[in-house]
Amino acid sequence: MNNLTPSRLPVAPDSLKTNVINRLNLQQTMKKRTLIRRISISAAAVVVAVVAIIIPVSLATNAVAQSKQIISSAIEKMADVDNYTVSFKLRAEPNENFASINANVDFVNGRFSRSFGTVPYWKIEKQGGRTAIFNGDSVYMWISDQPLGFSFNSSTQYGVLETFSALLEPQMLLESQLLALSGDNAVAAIEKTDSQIFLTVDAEAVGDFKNDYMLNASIGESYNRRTYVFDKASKLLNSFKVEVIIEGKYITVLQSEQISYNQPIDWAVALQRPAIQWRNASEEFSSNVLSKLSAAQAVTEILRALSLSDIAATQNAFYYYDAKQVESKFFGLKILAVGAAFTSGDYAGQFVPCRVKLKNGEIFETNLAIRNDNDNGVWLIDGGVSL
Amino acid sequence: MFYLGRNNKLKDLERVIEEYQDRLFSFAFFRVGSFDVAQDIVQDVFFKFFNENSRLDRVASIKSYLYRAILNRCIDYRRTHRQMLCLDAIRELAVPQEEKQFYEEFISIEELLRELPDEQAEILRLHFTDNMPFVDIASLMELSVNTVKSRFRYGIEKLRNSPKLKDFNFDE
Repeated sequence: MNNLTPSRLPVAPDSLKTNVINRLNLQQTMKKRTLIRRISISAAAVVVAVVAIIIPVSLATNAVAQSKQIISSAIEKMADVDNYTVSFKLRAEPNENFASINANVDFVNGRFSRSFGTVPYWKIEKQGGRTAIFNGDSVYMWISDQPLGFSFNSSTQYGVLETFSALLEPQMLLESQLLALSGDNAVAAIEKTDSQIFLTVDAEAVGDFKNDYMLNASIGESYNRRTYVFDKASKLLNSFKVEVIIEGKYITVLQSEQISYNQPIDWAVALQRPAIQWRNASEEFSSNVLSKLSAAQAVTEILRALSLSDIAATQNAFYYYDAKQVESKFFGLKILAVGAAFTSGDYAGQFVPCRVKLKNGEIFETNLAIRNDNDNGVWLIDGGVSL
Repeated sequence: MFYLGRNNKLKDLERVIEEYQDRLFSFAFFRVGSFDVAQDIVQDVFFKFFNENSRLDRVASIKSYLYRAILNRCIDYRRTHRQMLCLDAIRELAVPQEEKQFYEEFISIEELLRELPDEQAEILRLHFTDNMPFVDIASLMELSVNTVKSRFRYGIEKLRNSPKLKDFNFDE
């Protein structure tokens, strides 16, 4: 025996093997860790453009003219529509923001209803997950089984709906396609049957993908093909489908199941909100100690506050989360590593890789989504916490 | 016996983890001085071991692969987290009672080894703390056995001659 030999060797914790296997299983089922973005829009956002970057394809001049004719007719017909409802299925996590897709998961059912009356109501819901409504005055968004919901002023409608904002003003969607047909290059393929007209549009992924973390995380951030089917007689949109192109394979991520026009909708029922706590998402935040830090420094400070169970220091950063849930999961954590921040896709904030040990012994590894695009540059956690 | 296919590869990995986890965890702990960091490093190495090798049975020497990977990770950690390896700070850590003895032994071993240049300290750590024969140390460190032995001798000599350490016992 000597002074360099331990009298006893420590043994590996029971959780070691489980953590490795869980991490590998997670990697297999979700090649890309999904990101639950709470709010997803900038507090200052007004309108988000929904026009895709169209990939030119060769199309004969007469086909272009035909496409223009179809779309123009559809736009005209939409003027006669008082309301419509779209039932759809989307490959996504139910709780994720509306733009989010995940080509590796099953479809979740959803529904979007829109009134074009004097008061333009709408409602969108992903079954068992995220719902948003517009009551003519404010937008409200909540997630099933979560104790906290958010209100937004009316100017943020497009931001809340993200991809689905195209359904808010179908004329706008059609007009964007019409505009795309007006250039020198044709942009769409068109096919006709006896009763239907198919319009197919290919679009490029939008955003900066030097780091491809967000590639294919939403329809807009994917190379995608959108197919619209119009009824030949009524000229109204009958169905639509969006496929994303991943490693050369076309994977359907969004598909309408039924579109019904001018059917009565009981808006008094449709616009009911659950009895949960409501928080104003357009809140103005005062500068705080995090304001002047970089994203990675801010995450380090926030994690440090969590490790010290410092409620006051974490309250602002987790404005979009329920304080009790944050406390229950993250208080008392130990920081293992914080990596360099990166940007990806069209996300307005940054992602900071970090690895912590939770007080239950679980190793939690994530890319925390953090953003400071508010008036005072206050860093707010926006996703990646899996609550 | 190794298997083909992902599910079987997972079973292979579970077997490898069960066989090596205690030795590797202890190996990492006596370099980084933290149960949490040691666990994290060992987990990460197993994770990469699985992902970097399409067939675990094709890895020439699993033991060498794992020890080398963990040694490298520990060296990186020691280089980048000098403050966390401050022995006074480790002494102050609030650790569970059942871990206390290991932290105390880590501190006393480190106090000795920090009297030496890193390359000699590591040879002594491998030999005494990890109970590794010189041939295995040479293979792990990619050195000749003679180099390992001479670094070992220099290290021992230095510790013996250190007035601060004259009371310590250095049985080889």
